[in-house]
Amino acid sequence: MVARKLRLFRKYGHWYLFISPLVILFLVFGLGSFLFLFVLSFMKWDLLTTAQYAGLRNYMWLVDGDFFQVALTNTLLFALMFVIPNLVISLVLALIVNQPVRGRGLIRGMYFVPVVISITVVAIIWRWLYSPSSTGPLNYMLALVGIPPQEWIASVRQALPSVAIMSLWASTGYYMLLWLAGLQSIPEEIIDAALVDGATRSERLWYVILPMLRPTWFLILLISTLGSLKLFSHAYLLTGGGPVQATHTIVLLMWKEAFIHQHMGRAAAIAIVLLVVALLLSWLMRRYFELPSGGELQ
Amino acid sequence: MSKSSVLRPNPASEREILTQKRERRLEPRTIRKGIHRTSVYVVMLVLGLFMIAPLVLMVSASINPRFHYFAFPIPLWPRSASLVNYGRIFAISQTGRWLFNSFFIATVTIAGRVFICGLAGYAFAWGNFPKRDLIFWTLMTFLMVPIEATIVPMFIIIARLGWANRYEGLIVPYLLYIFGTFLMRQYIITIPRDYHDAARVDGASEFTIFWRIVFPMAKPAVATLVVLSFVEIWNDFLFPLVVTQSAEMRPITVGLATMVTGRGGEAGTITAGATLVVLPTLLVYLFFQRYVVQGMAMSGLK
Repeated sequence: MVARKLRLFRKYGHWYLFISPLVILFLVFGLGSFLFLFVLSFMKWDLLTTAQYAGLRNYMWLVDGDFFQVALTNTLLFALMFVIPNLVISLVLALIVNQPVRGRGLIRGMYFVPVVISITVVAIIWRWLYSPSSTGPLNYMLALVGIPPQEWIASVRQALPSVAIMSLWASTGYYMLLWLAGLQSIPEEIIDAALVDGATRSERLWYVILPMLRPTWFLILLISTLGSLKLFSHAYLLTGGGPVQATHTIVLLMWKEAFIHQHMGRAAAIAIVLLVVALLLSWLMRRYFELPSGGELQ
Repeated sequence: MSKSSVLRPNPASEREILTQKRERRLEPRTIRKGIHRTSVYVVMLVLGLFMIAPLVLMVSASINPRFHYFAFPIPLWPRSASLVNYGRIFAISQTGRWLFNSFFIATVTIAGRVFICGLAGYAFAWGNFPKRDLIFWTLMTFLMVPIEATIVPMFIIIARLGWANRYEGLIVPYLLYIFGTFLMRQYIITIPRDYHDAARVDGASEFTIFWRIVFPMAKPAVATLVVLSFVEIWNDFLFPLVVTQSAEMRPITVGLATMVTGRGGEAGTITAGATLVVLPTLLVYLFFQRYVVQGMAMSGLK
């Protein structure tokens, strides 16, 4: 038995050695935090005193209190304001830069620039653009077309849409890229066949291209919805969650519970909800679109 | 669907030339084609300007010593253009230290990632050890777990290791890069195994094969990993926000954000800082656009 183990080790040992740094990191920070998260969600712990078993009290807090419901509502509203416009705008951008005109590579590069910009900088710029006075850049431009100045992030009603608009600017270029990858994977013969049949530009798009791009739809809907559920930095940096609680998202609430109020258990319970929703969504969409598992990302 | 096709310079061109020829024969369409082309250009440029304008405004504000938030429109090239704001951001904040932190964290992390992901990717591609696929797919499953969900327990683990507010805490957790391992494995698996077997016959050890043969051949994958990691780590916000507590440990993104959310600060100075933050990633994007775009399209994580 021992001899066999030893022989196996001599035969395969170096391979295990090669993956050991990654596996150790994974056990500590990947699987470790994952399992710890579940334990934590049943604890009451402020990191200073000893942890206490709290049963389901952290989850009850989610259900009973206002904070989580407000955050969840905001997050879902944001998802609504981001996902659908993003799907349309990124498709339009992709169709435009897929046109066979000179210089489209440069334009494509321009559309993608906001994606590589730090979110800190994005928020700095947009805080200025959203200045509520009549000299705010966006209000100035609205005035040119005769629209009175808006309050943007200073107003409870407009704050969340303002975050969504900034997010659209910051990440649509990335989704354009995914559309482009899809568009370019369509075999030429199919487009040519539609052309021969006399299909117009919009008919080709609506009846040929879009149905063929179902995997791309799926991927974009999935990634952008997940991204909306995880919304933190954009809201934290642009509005800090305010005014009042207008842009409080679930991850922002989690961050505050953990690192401002030292309620590790509550924060973990919020994270569990996020995790479950994210995995459920991923599974549902996969079923709805009847895709072979994992096909897209590989 | 092949993601690399995004990078081919003009994959649709043959098809489009075909289309154009066909349409030119149908007379009235030629005119419509011209109108269409012009409108495409106009729409393209307007949208492009909209995407770029905020950045242009930022740069022109940063070289404007008299810039403040309550004056618009501002001149694109201010008459008194100077770098005063840039001097000031270094004087009134720890921007120098923050920039160093960002560069230091990114450099060490990337070196570690290349080595760790390279070795593991090599083992998963060419190794034939028991439970290889089980381990690999377990790791891959965790790609679906967002960092936001595990950041709280991860912080506690980092704090227990005594790494909170230290470089170790800012670097070591980043070294777990599952997507990078996937990237390396997918690339190495396409290299013909004959290289491996031939070197083995010549008596080379597995590590020598990895270091001398596979690693140099996997350069495109390594380049993607490096460039993507740089953009990711440089721009990261939530993780360093959680791990750092004192000002001098912060990377530039978090440091600059504290100046904004704190007690105001001067508008021009802040925009100068913002320009400094953007510069490295923008340069990386300009020079290695192919790798950035390819990597991001593949990772599907944004």
